[in-house]
Amino acid sequence: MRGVSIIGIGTTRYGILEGQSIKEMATFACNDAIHDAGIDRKQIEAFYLGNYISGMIIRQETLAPLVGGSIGLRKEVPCTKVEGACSSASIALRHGYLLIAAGVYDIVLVAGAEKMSSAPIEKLTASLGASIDMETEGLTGLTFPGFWALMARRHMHEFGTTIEQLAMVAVKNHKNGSLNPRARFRNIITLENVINSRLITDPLKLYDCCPISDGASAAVLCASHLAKEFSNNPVEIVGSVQTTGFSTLFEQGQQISLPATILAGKLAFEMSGLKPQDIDIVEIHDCFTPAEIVDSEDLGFFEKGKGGWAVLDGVTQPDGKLPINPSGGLLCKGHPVGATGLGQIYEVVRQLRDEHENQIKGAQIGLTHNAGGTGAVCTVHILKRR
Amino acid sequence: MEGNSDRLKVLKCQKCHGLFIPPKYVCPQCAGSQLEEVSLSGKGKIMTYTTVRVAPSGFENQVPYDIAIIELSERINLTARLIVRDEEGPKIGGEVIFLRKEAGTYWFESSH
Repeated sequence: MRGVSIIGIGTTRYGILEGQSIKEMATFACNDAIHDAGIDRKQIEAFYLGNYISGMIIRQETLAPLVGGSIGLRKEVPCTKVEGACSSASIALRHGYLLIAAGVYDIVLVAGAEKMSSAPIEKLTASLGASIDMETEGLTGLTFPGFWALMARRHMHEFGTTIEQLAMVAVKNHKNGSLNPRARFRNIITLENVINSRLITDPLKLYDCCPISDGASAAVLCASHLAKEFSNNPVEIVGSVQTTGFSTLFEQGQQISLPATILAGKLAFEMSGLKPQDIDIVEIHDCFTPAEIVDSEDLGFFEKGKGGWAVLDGVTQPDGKLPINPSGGLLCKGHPVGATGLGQIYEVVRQLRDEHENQIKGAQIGLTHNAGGTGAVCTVHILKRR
Repeated sequence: MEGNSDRLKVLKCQKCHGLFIPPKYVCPQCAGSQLEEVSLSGKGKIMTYTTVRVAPSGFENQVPYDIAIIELSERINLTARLIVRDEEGPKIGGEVIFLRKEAGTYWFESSH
């Protein structure tokens, strides 16, 4: 297998991008990545696009050739959409990675896009919930906030995790996001703001939940031996893993872990030859505050049950031992579902190039964790400065 | 037999004897294709619960509603709607009993 590097990144801001279509956002992000890579678009040999619910929300399907045509890719280029709920963009990235690693292509464009803000909340909640098994658990009226509320309550019961610890995740990520011009929210919030916000699904409040957002992100991948021709700061992909979990919560053990995350973390560390303590920065899939706590344990950064205490002790702050979500994470930056995985990659690449607005000094190695749906899918990528 | 049936039925693999919440089309444990319906006691305990206050379309008129993961006494889990009659609300470890299955959804209530 050949080495693969990221030579270009591009993104829209995440938020309510009123009047911007999904085609427009994806075109902007791809163009941004192509310019950043300094390649000619005619050099792109394949295009993978991640998206989750464009059919249900905006009645637009067959997105990949639509966007490929919009950015002017050659007609020989296969344009393929991939879907794995919130993991969709990371799956697109991994497909590009695999084809370059296998020697099929040298240069691949990958992207993710989602348009959410134009739909009413009930339709969005139902569409997002459609990644729960609709023959069983999906029929009960369980929602994604509900899924994580069930996990949170069991975690609190088992380990003494507190409401304050959950709220601290939101407070930390909003502080980080206040420095990020791509984030939906730019304001700092307090523990009281979170705890006193509207109850959504007990024990989760409004600020425990990531905001509905529009956005698109993209990256240009290149065989590592060619990367220096285009870029003087390529970032190597040293781990790329996708695992499969369960499409319901009731089937996954004790409701304190996502098995797909545990496995993806383990395999990504094996693939890269690295250990959790080698990682300098992490972008974790904090769709809800308990998710950051549970995932940080499942990835092996903290002992099971200790994730909440790590947040409270400041370990995951930008100046702590393991900065988590210095971008603001999904909670503050926003979660345009099908784009998020490459949004995380965008943020980590900027960190590894020393270009980030909330720069973690000396960051050499970064990890992204992007879970899809009920943990039915999990992707982990490990990136390293070359 | 959905509707008013008071027996909780699940599937049992005739090869590995694993129990599964229906529908299953093959046994995910051993790939066995003989899955037979068996009746359970309908008794279980709450592993975790929540009250949904923002619902998906189709459920707007039902909010707030309680959902729980139930561990049945036969050591199999399922997700169910919960009817709580105590004023204190649901509790982890609280005992529940199967009421009915309606449109694919299991309904349980506190058993005291």
